[in-house]
Amino acid sequence: MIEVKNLTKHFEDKTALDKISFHIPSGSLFGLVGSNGAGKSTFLRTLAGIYSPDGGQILVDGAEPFENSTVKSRLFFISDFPYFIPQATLAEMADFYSRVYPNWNRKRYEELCSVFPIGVKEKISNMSKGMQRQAALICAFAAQPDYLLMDEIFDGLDPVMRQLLKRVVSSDVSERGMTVLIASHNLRELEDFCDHIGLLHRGGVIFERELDELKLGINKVQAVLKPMPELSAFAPLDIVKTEIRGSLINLVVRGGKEEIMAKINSLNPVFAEILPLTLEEVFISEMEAAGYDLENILK
Amino acid sequence: MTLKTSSNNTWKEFTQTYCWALKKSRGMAALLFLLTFMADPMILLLSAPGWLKDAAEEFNSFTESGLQTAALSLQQIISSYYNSFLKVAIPFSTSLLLLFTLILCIQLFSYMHNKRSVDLFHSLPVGRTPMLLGRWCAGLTVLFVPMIVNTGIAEIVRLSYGITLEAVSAPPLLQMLWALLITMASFTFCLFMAVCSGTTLDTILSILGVNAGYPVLILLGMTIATMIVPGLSFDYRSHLLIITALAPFSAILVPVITEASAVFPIWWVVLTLLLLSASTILYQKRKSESAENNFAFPIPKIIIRFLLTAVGGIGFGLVLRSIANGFLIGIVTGSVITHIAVEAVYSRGFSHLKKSMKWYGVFAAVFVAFYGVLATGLFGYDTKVPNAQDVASVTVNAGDTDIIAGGGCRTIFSEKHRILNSTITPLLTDQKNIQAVIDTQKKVIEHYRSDSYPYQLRNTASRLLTVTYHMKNGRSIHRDYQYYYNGNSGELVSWEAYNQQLKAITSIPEYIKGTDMIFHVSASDVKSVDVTNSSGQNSFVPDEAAKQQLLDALQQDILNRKLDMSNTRQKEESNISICVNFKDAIPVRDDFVKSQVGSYQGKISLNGGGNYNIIRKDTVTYQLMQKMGWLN
Repeated sequence: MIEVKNLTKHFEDKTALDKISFHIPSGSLFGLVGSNGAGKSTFLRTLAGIYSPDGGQILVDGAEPFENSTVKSRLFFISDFPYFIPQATLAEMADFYSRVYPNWNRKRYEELCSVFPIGVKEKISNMSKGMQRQAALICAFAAQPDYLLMDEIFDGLDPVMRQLLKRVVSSDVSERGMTVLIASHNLRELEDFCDHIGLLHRGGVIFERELDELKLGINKVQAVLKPMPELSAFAPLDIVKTEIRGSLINLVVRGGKEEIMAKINSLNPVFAEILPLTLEEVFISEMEAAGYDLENILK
Repeated sequence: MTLKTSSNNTWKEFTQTYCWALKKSRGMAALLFLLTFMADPMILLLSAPGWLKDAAEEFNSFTESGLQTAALSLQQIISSYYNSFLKVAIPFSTSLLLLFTLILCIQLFSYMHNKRSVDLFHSLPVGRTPMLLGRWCAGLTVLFVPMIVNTGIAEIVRLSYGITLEAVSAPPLLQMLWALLITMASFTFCLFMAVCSGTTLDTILSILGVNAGYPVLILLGMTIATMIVPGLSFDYRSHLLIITALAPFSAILVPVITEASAVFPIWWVVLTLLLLSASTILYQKRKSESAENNFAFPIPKIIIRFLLTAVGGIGFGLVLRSIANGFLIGIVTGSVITHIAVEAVYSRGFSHLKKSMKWYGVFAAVFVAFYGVLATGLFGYDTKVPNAQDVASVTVNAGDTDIIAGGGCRTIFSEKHRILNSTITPLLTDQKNIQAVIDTQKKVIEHYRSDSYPYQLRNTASRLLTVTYHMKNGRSIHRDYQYYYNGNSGELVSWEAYNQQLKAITSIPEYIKGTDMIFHVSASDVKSVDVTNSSGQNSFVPDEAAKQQLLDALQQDILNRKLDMSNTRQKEESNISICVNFKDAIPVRDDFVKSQVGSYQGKISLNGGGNYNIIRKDTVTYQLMQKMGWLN
């Protein structure tokens, strides 16, 4: 389990992580989303033991990863721009990683090389962005880490490779209990892949929840009301977002479907229904509710 | 148990890193081996047969011309060829080592200057200390192995051709050890700069900045101090440790292997250990996010900016002084411009310039303090004169006006023909004579003080008086006074009033005896005599009594100043020169000779003998030669 307690990280006068606290259960597929500069990459690097925290703690099964080889041997980090040793081939990178990762599995590496369409003797620097990510993924899966940290891993991968990635990850999670953290802006990819979601913004955590719980706990209501009552008439609904066009009202409301419909029906609507929310809509609503400037947030 | 496991892990991580870094650098090792092989063993292999042939011809020509008594042995000739070769091969090899030290530093440590590579290496399950030390050891292996192997091959080649080390100042193995040590220091210095810097460019700039800036600053500081403080002088050769103390890239190029330089290697071992410890500690504290910033730690930037600002200021000040007497304008202009330039380079612009000016203020304050201390006499250094009763002896050089015609015998060699002292210096032990020297020095000090105080920069001319007091407590006091030019008129300041006083010192028999080795040999040390007159050169091997008579005659004439160039110039009555050839190994017979050879313990030789032009016929030597029939 990963525990984050008041984690703080500064870069000169800028606070990248501001006393964030949450936990990530073992064996989960955790999606980390947020605006640009929210602190997602900083969080992953701190978790990978690259950065030392300026305050608070980040614990992997109770131990801090910074300068802790034992913890790091159970973590594998793929950065947003994976780095490879200059002029190295995949075979050479595999040789390099096999020396330092104790769980390196040669057989698994060879299996993955046959699954991902990549030349092991080809120089990685000559490969495309997507191929380089595939090379990084092969090494990561062959290292068999307990915690796989990936930053913007979907960038550059074609749809087939994305599905392959999801399949391999899911298999490792189910077979070995691997915990996966993915930082991404691609909410649609995360929506059908992750079971937990955390939203970071400006160094703070807006929420961290199970995806199902998140989606079930917030609903979009569309209703036609004649005449349109005052907004106070919707009390005590926990309204996140309101849009009124004539007699049509759209609401994003926190709470159970039955409870919401009971309240709406009490206002004698001409028409009323509950619509499913995409993950993207959930985030937009939550962040608007938090008072964030949408123009500069989700992209 | 936990400690043991941790230690095992660290060792494993170290060996993993070492093996990987070594594997990655094997191409560099092969290239270095090839280049150093070409520079040393290969040329030796190809040249040695030619040397043997040329040396044999040279030796035969000596033998045939009858000059074999003065000539070197065949082995010595071959060895001199080898020594000449080493004088080219060693700087070339060490320059290659320098270049590869820099390249390897970039190859092995630039990973910490790139955010992407930091992501990879700092996320690996390898501790920072084993990661750093593993790479450091791999780098040293790459630098050392080609050097050791090539030196071994060169030694085998040398021995197989029978080349001895007769005229070699330091054996190749010792040279190699020195090169290895200073290479280690240089590489560790690079490591330290790499850890402190945020980018590879800043690392290189810092390495070059300190290695060039530090020695130049020390030399400029010494130059200014010598120009201001009366009596202060620096023998740059004996201050090489201070001059290069923080600049291993400069030290590696200094051929400094002498018997007296034991402190030198000790310093480099100590500095290497300090730099390595500091690098390890700082790397632990280094923030990964400092990659691609200018500096991870600001100390090098502050030091380098200070060094270069001072060099720019003092250097430009001295230049302007020499052409327009504008030292102050030069130092202000030079230092400000250099400070701005260094700041602009390190900060990639002028955004931090205003903030950096406080460090310029530090330089200005330090320089003013430094100049003030020198101008007021360096805490009494200018007026310090010992009490005669505390002085055991004094080495004096009161000018070179009374040079013996023909040169005399003033150079001492080791048994293996290495120069131990190129010009012997008189040593006075008599209390009366010591007091005379002290009195003269006091007069000289008075003259300096009365001329201008606080002191100013002076342009110096030739030597006026050099004294080294050897105190009874084991310490020594050295002062070196020069003739100098007036700062305003540009004319040589007159010392006419002191010439008689200086003359009084040079007339002391004890002083005169210290100007020529003929006073410090015995008849048994003399091998032969070559006499040259208008009819040609003749060699004689006198018996012991005749040798003693010759020594006595020469000593008497020198003491009576009858062989001095100044006394003979107007009296060219004869055109005879005599060369006294000495045996190869002469025991050190008196304290005077001991004082002239420093820590050297063995026998000495007087290569080239004693050469005297006997121009006056009223000399005892002339009359003896006539009596012996050497002039017929």
